[in-house]
Formats: sequence, C-alpha cells, structure tokens
Amino acid sequence: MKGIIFDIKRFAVHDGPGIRTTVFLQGCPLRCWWCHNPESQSLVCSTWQKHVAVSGKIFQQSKESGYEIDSDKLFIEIQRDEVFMSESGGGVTFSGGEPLYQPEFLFEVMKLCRDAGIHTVLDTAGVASEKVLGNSMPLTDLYFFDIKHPDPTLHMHYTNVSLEPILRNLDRLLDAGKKVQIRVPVIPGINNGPEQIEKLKNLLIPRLERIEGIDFLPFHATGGHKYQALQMENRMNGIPSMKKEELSDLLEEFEGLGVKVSIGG
Amino acid sequence: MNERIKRLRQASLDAPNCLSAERALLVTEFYKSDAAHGISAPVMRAMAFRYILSNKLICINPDELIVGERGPAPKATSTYPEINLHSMKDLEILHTREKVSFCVDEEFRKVYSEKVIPFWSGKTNRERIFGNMASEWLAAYDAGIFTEFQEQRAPGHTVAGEKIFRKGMLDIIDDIYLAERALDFMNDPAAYDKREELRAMEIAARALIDFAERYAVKLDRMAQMETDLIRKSELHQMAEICRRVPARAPQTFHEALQHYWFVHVGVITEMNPWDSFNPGRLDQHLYPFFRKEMDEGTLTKEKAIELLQSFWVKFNNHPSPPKVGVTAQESNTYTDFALINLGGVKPDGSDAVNELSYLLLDVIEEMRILQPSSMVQVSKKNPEGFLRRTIKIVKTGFGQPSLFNTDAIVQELVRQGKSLIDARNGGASGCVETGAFGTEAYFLTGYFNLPKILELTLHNGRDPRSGRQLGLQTGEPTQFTSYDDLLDAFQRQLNYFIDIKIRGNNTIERIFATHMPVPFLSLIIDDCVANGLDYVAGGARYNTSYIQGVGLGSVTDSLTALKAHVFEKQDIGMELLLEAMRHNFEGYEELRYRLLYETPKYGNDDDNADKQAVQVFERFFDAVDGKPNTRGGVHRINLLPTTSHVYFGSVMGAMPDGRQAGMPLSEGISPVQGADVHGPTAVIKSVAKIDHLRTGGTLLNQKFSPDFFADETAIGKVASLVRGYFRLDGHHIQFNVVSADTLRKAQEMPEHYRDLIVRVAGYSDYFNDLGKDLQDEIIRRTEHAEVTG
Repeated sequence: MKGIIFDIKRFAVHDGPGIRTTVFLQGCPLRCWWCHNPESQSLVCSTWQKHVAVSGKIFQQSKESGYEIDSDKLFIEIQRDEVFMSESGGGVTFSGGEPLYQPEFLFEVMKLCRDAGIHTVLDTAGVASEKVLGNSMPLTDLYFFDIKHPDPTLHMHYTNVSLEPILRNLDRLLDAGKKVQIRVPVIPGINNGPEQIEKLKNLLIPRLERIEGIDFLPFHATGGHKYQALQMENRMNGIPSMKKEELSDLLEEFEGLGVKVSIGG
Repeated sequence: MNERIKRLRQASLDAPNCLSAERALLVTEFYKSDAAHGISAPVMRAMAFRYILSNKLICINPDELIVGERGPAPKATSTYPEINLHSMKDLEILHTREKVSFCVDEEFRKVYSEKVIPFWSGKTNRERIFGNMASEWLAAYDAGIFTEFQEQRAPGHTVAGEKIFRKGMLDIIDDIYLAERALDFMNDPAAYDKREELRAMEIAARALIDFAERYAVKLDRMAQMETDLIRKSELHQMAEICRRVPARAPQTFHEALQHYWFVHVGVITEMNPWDSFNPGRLDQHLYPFFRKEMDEGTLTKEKAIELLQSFWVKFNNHPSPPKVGVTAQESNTYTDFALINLGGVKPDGSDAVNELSYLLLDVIEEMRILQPSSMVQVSKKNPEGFLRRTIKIVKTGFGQPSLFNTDAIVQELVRQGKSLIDARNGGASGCVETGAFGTEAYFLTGYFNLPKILELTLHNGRDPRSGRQLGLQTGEPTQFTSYDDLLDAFQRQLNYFIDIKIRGNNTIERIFATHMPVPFLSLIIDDCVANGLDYVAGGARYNTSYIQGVGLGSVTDSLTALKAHVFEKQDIGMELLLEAMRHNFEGYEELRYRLLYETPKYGNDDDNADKQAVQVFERFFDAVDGKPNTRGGVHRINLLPTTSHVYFGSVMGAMPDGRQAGMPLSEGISPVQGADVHGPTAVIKSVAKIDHLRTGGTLLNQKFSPDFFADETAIGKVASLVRGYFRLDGHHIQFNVVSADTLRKAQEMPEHYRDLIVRVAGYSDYFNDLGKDLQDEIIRRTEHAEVTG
C-alpha cells in the first residue's frame, strides 16, 4: 500500500543505536511552535522551491516535501543499508511528522522490517488510539517517546493537543514492558524554566525505573527559512539555537535521579 | 615525546628542502673513470653504488639514535642524473616554484653546469625512453591521455618482506654463492648474465657493509670527543650496532631498526625508485625483537617508543627526489610514499595485531609528521579495539592512518596467482597499491585519463584542445543511434590507447633491464638472488605492471548524462550538447543546470548512474588485465590518482557531466566532488559495485567534519561504516577530518597553518604545499561533507 513520506535519511547516526536509516512520515496532529519540519504537518503531497546557482544564474528547483511511496519500495530503500545496520547494531527509525498518523502503511513497512531482522525505532509524540498503539508494539524494538511539555495547559497551548492521552499511551507501553526512551525538546522560555523542570521531574520520577533513559534535544532554529517558504508564521522567530552546553545543568539534575541522560539524541 | 625526540622532530621539520649535488657528482666521477669501462651493466651499477657509498659524506645528526642519511644533511636531496638530468632551467624552476620547491645554491648550479650536465647530456635514461617511444605514444603523452612513471624515476613499489629482518648482508652473500654454484654453463644460455648479476649483487651487499663501517668509525671518533657520559656510551653502542648490522642479521630491537634503515638508504641511494622503499608490515617484523627483549628485560616500552620515533624522523629527513614537468604535476609532494603497514593477518591466516601494533599507533599519533605514511590493515579477524584506536587517530585530522581491507588484499593477490602465504604477507604500499611484500616487483607505469578517452570519442578521435587526430576514427557522435554505439566507440578508443601505453611500458621495462639494473635492491626482493636475475629484469617471484585509471566518477557521470538525456529521454540533442561543451557552457546555463541537477549521479547508490561506472570498469579491466609485460608477468589495473586528477582535468574541455574546462576530475573511485548527496553509506554502496578484488587497489576519499567522531559511540559508528565497506569487498577508505572553515582560513593565512596536514588522495600532505586548484577542490569536498553530514 501507499503512504506519504517526506524524506529518507541514510547514515542517520543520532536516531538510535548504530547506523540507521530514518524514514520521515508525512502528517502530524501536533502543531508545536518550534516544529522544524513544518512542511511535514499536513498529510498532503506538496512541493517547495529551492534556489540553485549555476554559473552565476539562479535556477528554481522543485523539492517534494511529501510524496507517495509504496511500502515495498520504501522497504527496498531501507534495505539498502542493511550491511551497515548489521555491522553496527543499527536499523531503521520511523520519524515524522508523527509516524502513527499513517498506521496501516507504517505497520506494513514495519512488518517487512521485522521479517528481515531489521531493528526498528518508532519516534512518536504518543498521539494515537489505544488500538493503533497496541498494534505498533509487536513491531517496535524501541520507542522514542516525546514529552513536549510537562504542564497539561501549556502542552495544549504550545502543541495544540492535550497531554493526558499521551501519558496514558506512555504508560501502556511501559506496562507492556516495551523499551522506551523519553525525548524532551528543550525550548528556551517555554519549557526550560525551573518550575517546568520541576514538573517534568515529577512527571518522570514514577516512571524512571521503567524507561531506558532521557534525551534532551536542544532547540534548533533551523526551520526559519522553511516557514518563510511555506508562508507560515514562525512563532519562534528570532530565538537563537541552544548550545549543548546550556543544557549541562539539566543533565546533572536528572542524572542525580539515577537515570541515563543524554543531550541531542 | 621526550626532549630528545622533540629536538629531533623539530630539527627535521625545520631543515630546508635542498638539492645536494653530492650523489650526482660522485656518479659522474665514477662513470667518467676507467673503472666504468668494459664491464657489464649490473656490475657497473653495483660499482657506481659502491663508489657513492664509499665517498659520500657521513652525516650523523646531534642526538640521533638511528644513523644514515642519503644526502650530506637531513632533507639535502639527491639527484639521479643517469635517470633524469635537470637542466639549469629545471633547477631554477625547482628553486623558485611556489609549491614543493627545493633550494638550489650556487655551488650546486656550478657543479651541474660544469660537470654534471656536460657529461650526462644525451646519455640519460629519460632521453633513452623518449627516444624510443612511438610517435602515437608521444602524442598521447603530450595530450595528457596518460603519464609515465619511469620517465624521471626508476621502477619501484619495493617493499621489504620478513627476509631482511632475518638475514644480514653476509647471509645474503652466502645465498649468492649458492646461486653461483648452481649456474649451468652447459645448458643455460643466460648463465653468464646471471653470474654478472650475482657478482654485482655481491659488490652491492659488501658496499652496504662498508658504508655501515664508515658510520661505526665516525661514531667511535665522536664517542672519543664526547664529554657527556650518557651520549658517549650511546655513541659507543651505536658504533657497535653499525659493526653488526647490516652485515649480520639483527638481534635486538635497536639493531633491527638500524639494519632496516641502512637497507632503506641503500635502496634510495642506488636509484630513485617510485615509491621510495618501505619496511612493510613493521609490527610483524619487529615484534619478535620487541617480545624477546621485553621478556629478557633489556628493553622498556619507553625505550622502544624512543627508538621508533627516532626511526620516524629518519623517514621525514628524506623528501621525494625532485620532480619536474608532468611528473611533478601528477605527484606534486615531498612525500616519498613509504607506507608503514600495521595489523592484518599472519601467514597462517590468524589475527596479526599485537602489542607493538598499538605501540606503533601511539607513535603515529604523537609524531604527526609527513613521513612515513601509515596505514592499518583491517581483517575481519582483527579486534574491534584496534580499529577504534585507529579511528581515534584519524579523528585528529592529519589524514593518517588510512584503512585497508586485508581480506580483500589477500583475495586480490591470490586472484593474480600469488600463493596464499605470500598474499597474507602482503599489504599496500605507496597510496593504495596491493603487493606481495618482499616477493613482488610491481611497477606502476602511469596514470590513465579515462574521461579524456570519452572526450576523444565525442570528437571522433580528435583532441579538441589541439585539434589533432590522436585516436581512431570511431564515427561522428551525432551519427550514434544508441548508447551502445557510443559505448562501443569508447571501448575501441580505450583499447587503442591502452595498447599504445602497454607497448611503451614493455619498451621502457627493457630499457631499465638493459641499462639500469638495480643489484642492491635485487638482494632484498625474493627470488632475484636465487634466479640470478635483476629486480627490473623479472628476477622477483612475481612481476606485475600496473596502469592506474583516473577519473572514474567523471567519466561515469558523463556517460550517464549522455545515456539519460541524449539517448533515452532525448531532451538534449548530441549536437546541442557538443556545442555547449565547446562554449564551456557559457550561455548554456540552463543546459548545465539539467546536467548537474537533473541527471543521476554516481555516488548515490543509484543504479541508473552506477551501472555506467561498472561498464567503464569492466572495459578498462578487459583492456589491461592479463596483457604480458617483459618480465614474465602481466599488466593489471588499479584506480588511484595521487594528484593527477588535477593535471588530467587541466588538459580537458567541458564534459557532459557539467564539469567545466580545466577543472579537476573526480579522484580515485570517489564520486565527482559534490555529486553525492545521500551520505557516506550511499557512496560506499555505489563504489562497491565495481569489483575491487580484480584490481590492485582502489582509493576512496571521504571527508568528515570532526563531529562525526565526537565520542565513543560515534567512533563505533565510523568503525561499523568501515567494516560495512570491507564486507562489500572495498579495498581502502580514508577520512579527512577537518572543517572547510579551517581550510579557508589556512588558504588566507597560510603562515598560521604551516602544520596543517590534509588527506589528498592516497597520501597526506601539507595543505600549504598544495596548488590553489587542489586546495579549492579539497575545500569544496569538505564543505560538501559538512552539508551532507
């Protein structure tokens, strides 16, 4: 069957163990202010224009930011780097967008991967029905599970979805004994104040023993030109990227809780 | 690094690259003397060798532990007028050129103009070579279709095997006597020639012993005068060592290094072989000495490191002999390509990594000097820790060590007919060239410009640069009705020029065999002594001649563009494309845009492009592989460029891949600079589609920004990338770890980046010593790596 993806990145070395191929699926129910793939939000095929200079002349290049691909064809793309995956203990990572937004397509590809012995990471924001989440479990070796904001009200404000069902899904995965790595985007002025950090701690402490670890992902101001190209409002306009070093206090604080913490995936 | 090594290293770095007239003068004196008349060529060469070693200045540098200089001082570089006579104009160029210059003082010029040039004019091997080449060879050479390694250098790729660490010169002389006794004057018409060769070998062997004795005498004298008691005892000990080696087989670690070094100086004094000379599998050869002395308590790790570092400095003191003309362009560097091999497998096929392998990695990391080059052989049997330790040195960004696939090297050698044991004792020398160490004479004969063949094909055999008809008339390209027509024409042109090159090679081999035998080097490489035959005349156990293909990426992308646009989509007419190429795409920017951005490119794991690489590879292989040389061996291919991809690009017009006139070609088997946009795994998958096992070496350059090596996890991933490539039978991979920003700063303020070493192509060089075009090319490659990274 066909699905919509917007990129395949090979030699992705920050998206899980080993050398991985990351598939970015189109479409996402969240509207995070800091989204750096805004072109991936709506589940449609679209193009955007890139400018390329050749001998001083400027040419417009049409870039697909969402294109249909058959699950078999996608699997062939994933398999291309199998030799590196097996040498490195790597595999495939499904990211997005929100991969669970196209569950049938996703699961068909994931089944092919499972049968080929390719390790799978599902990078999800946790917005899915109980049934869809349940169906993903036998096909997923490791979840990357995002906690965008620890405060229910602000979560709704900054992402346009509520936190509560996300936490329910997290617990379902943990209850089922799945491996889950928590990922927290650190957004200056939005979720990195002392009060919010305290809330995050409180949220995670009861679950600490069952998670693999926490990744803090520093904010990158990389989406700016895309917002412009898409004629969308960039609500993080003018806010600079965070440096890894700015997260060192956070790192220490959470390491103090006895959990494995890393920065930047 | 201790204080002594710091001083030795600094002195070597600070020594100016100069020409020394010493050798040229001595060899001229000898050839003029009565002694040089009425004797056979090998005996004459041996006597010339002896004359140089008996009369040259004995140079012992302050503090040093390993002695022996080719010239009268570090980096005082010899010339070889019997091979290539530099004119006064050449000397001026060498003296003043911006890159890889050699200072030439008044004294040198005087000696050259009064003694050397008058004697050697008209008698050099270079003149013999050019005088014997067919007109089509000369035309092709002038057009930049191929280069000729032997026009200024002697045949090389000489790597020591285990023998020289087991045998002294006296032991080898015993072998000579055995071979002499076995001569059959009744039945063997070559018996006389063999006896002359064996006599020459004995003269050469004894000359090296006497040379070491001269060192011993001088060391004794220095010891007497020395007031520092520690140094005094060192000098005494060094004198003793020079009296034992190279006459007898070395017994200690120090002796083994000194023994090798005398042999090295012997090889590079006798002749200027390309590449210089190489101890090969150093961790294997030295380990027995290391182990024994460590167990007996007569050697400490610190002492071993100090000796190895002293040894390293000796290599750095010996720049490549000066090159001029095309040869300077194809290999513009001071490095003389001594490539230390570590790791790999033992003769029984088991893991060869030992304690000394790690110690040598420490030495490489700490020394950070241009010479010697270093490489690590990685077999599937070698431990992960060894590979990771290596990658941590690669991370420091001076382009060494490079990484080689032992399991591929062994299969390459076995396919060529080497015994499994000889193959496992082999490795890579020079840039990436596969060889059976100690048993093979493998000559690199010249770079071959594959894209130029396509350019000629697209002009019905005419060179658009000169307008001359160089190739066959394979038809006007506008008359080709299919891609296969084009490919057939390309193949005919390729075969035509390869045959020209091979006929030239076979002539040049005989010129060397007749006029320039190397009896000293013949002592080192088996089975020259047993066969009574010189190294250049087929005396070695294995005798291979290589032609090095250059520009695989460029020719592939050009063929793909023609196939896709002219013959399949038919959206660009052949006429229009040729017209755009004639105009260097000026006024054809839209067309060039489509060639650059709307055409499949090699290096992206896309069969639509990579198929053409395989087609070129197979045709190149068929044209060369198995064609006989004159030494009982055959021709083989490998794919590496040194710096010839820049030279070859400079003789070419615009090409269908969108490359503009004069720009460098792609290097090694790497994709065209900037054409690969799907990261390193896609590059590796693409380049692994050609059959590396049927080559004698391929070169893949990958530029990585430093953050790829950020931590242990990242290093593990790079290690897996290497292992993955090697599982696909890849031969070699090297990483340049440096940011484009750094390089650009270095270009602006070269004075602040005098120590910046980058990987060029199969070797590292000082960034400052590269031409601006090559610098620019490396910056482009680096930027690209950062973007796709």
